[in-house]
Amino acid sequence: MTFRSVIKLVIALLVFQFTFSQNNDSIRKTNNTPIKRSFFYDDARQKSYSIEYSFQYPISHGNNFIGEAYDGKNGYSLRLKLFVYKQLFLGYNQSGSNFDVSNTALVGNYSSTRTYERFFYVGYELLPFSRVRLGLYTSFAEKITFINSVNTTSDNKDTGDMWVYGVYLDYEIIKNLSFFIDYSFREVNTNIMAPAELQSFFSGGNYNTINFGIRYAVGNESVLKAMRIVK
Amino acid sequence: MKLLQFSISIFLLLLLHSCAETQVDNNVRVLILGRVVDGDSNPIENATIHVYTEADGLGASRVLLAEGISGTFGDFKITSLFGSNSRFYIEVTNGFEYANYTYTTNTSEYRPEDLTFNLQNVVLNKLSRFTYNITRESVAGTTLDFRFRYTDPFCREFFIDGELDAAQSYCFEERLTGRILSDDLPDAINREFATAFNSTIIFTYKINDGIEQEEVINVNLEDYDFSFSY
Repeated sequence: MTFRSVIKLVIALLVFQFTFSQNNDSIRKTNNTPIKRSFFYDDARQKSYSIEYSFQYPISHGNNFIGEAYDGKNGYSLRLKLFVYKQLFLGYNQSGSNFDVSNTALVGNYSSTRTYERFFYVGYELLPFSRVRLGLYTSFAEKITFINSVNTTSDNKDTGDMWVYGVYLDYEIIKNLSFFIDYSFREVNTNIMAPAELQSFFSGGNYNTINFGIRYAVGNESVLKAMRIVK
Repeated sequence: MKLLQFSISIFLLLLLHSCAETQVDNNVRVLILGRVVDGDSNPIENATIHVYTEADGLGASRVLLAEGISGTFGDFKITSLFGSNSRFYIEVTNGFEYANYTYTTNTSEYRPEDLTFNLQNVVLNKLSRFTYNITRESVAGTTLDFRFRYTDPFCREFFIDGELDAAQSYCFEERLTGRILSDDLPDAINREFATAFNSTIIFTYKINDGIEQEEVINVNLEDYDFSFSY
């Protein structure tokens, strides 16, 4: 089992624990009125889905082609998130990052590259304080394309898969509208063919992203509850 | 009139169709490596290496895939993009004082299995500009048949599927230049050619129908002036 698989399993177990242990989390006051434990789940703060747009700042690192030759500039992210059951969510991300190439001798002659990132993700949102949400997520079915600025009429591309896991903090400024800050770690496995001595340098890469964005959330029931699949 | 417009349209369509586009392959990197030395096998530092590709067709543009410089010991190792085109070439230069070297191959259907182009030792000859002035001092009607045999300082190597194609390549080949001077053109003033520094030039001449003479010239200056009268 790889390190990545272990982390995915841990996140999945945490999400499962948060989601399905809620029935035992009720605390009863002396008057026997049940109060939902708000850290894991608060019925009053339930949303159905949200749309998010954010500015993305990529930060490259590591001993690989991204870390050694690319300097992060800027980017964007557009996300759609469905709250499937309680605070458990599924989402789709489409984003892009722009990098300057700081060392062309390491990667070839192109001055910049921009990424096109698509992935689904699953996670859980915690409710530590009023108006504040803390989310954890990991990706699946990820694809990334690097579009390199080579002096030709057609683009030159490097493609690959990507694994993302991240955390965000969201603050609701008015009902349904919030600001958030998001940090994610991204590990890329490329399809680049390179000579044996360069293969490890090009086969994978890492970068982090920090996002600042705005979220608009809609609804007051989870998707499964709205579909009357669960109560 | 309509027939003319139709013909022009067809012509333009064919013209556009024949325009080849230089391709840079996705998801590929190659390694260019070697060592740059001068004619005496001394390493050359800071020699420049450029890697280009170009499709064969009207309007195809040359694309620079990689560039780099040689290190202290003349060695270089450059990561490059790769293009499947009719021309893929690597140029090694070191300013105007040195002859350049070119490696050329057709990569439209060839890509090295190990994705490496190892140029090994690349010899850049230091250049010497040889200028000659030949004047006639003898009576009219005297002729001079002369030739300079010298070493071409340049090297162009052409490879097919990784193998050197000698028919299209030349490296430091012996060249001949000369002519017959007579009443029509009795002098050759400020003629020049480039040769390798510290090489020798064989100057052969024959006055009228006399015996052929030979003179050996050691080119030990960057600007070598040679004068001869007959």
